[in-house]
Amino acid sequence: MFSKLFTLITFLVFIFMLWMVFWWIPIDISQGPVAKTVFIHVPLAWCSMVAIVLVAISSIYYLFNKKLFWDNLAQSTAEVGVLFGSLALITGIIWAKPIWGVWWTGEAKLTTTLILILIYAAYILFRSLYTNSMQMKKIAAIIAVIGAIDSPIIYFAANLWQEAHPVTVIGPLAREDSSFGADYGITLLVSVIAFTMLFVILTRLRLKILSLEQ
Amino acid sequence: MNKIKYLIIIFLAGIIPMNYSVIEAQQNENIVNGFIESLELVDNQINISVIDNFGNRFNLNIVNSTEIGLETQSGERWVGNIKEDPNYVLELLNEAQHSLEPVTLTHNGADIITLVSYESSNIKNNLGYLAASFIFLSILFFGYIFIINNKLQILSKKK
Repeated sequence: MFSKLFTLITFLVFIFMLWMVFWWIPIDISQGPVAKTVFIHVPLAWCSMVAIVLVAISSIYYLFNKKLFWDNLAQSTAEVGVLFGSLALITGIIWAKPIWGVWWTGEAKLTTTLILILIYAAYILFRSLYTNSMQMKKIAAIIAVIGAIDSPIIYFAANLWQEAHPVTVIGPLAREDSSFGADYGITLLVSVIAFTMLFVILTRLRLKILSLEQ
Repeated sequence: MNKIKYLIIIFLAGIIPMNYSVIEAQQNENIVNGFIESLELVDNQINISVIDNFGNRFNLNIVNSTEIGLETQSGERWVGNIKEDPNYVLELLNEAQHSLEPVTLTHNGADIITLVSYESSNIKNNLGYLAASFIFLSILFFGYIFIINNKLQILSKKK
């Protein structure tokens, strides 16, 4: 009952978010309609960061207490995190073409994000290719913890190297001069909430599948 | 699990060569978005100073191989290089400087590889890129939801 209600609320929040993105907020005068990509790119990147932190925490818990739940949680969040991270990268690439004039540059934020996705894609492949042994789970947990080292580098990259990527707009490093106007800020907040709810639903579904499989 | 495994393999097979080849081709290039501060024509080469959005100054050269795309005052786009007519390029760059027109350039530290001015017509009509983002998002999300939902149904039936 609760999960159905949560799914319904998520659906309604998404509809509201789409209304805000396409009808409520005005078109950005300098970038044009493509500026609205920020309302999917930033929440996707945010969710992928949350996923990586969750993978690392659950892997550490698993290494200490060997409870299967933590291993399952790490696997589910890693999978959903890779999906969100890949989409963040794809939407970023699509935004970059009309704004920067190129699809891709070798700058720090983009490269470290690609590395992170590859690490966790390798983590998922490793888990699926080897048997469900205790040894495999331990190695996977160690890979996940090592991979998570990349996530703070990604978060700090835009502010540290100050290349073409816009500076951070979410979290403690968000600079006041980089903040949006009120309407853009509210829309971004709603989209972050919508995508985070979707992230919870997908992770829960994946977790359910894993427990059914076992 | 197998379907997801194959999807990841297909995704990696597609994205790794694509991204690495692009990174490889541009590893010596840097991008600067900013405004022209000064210009000087010396021996058929234009020395240009550009200030980016963070206040950093870049002193670079426009050489024969530099690809240039600039908007003229009539709103048309001129594409070429300084081999053709260095004085005309200088004139266009002077216009861009005095009208504070933002430029985007790629350089290798000394010479500019490409230099383009704010493409206002494209900026206003970039709705296709926004649509592409949402299409990608929908395909991947619905695809993923379809796969895990199928799997959940199969497992629930088995139980």
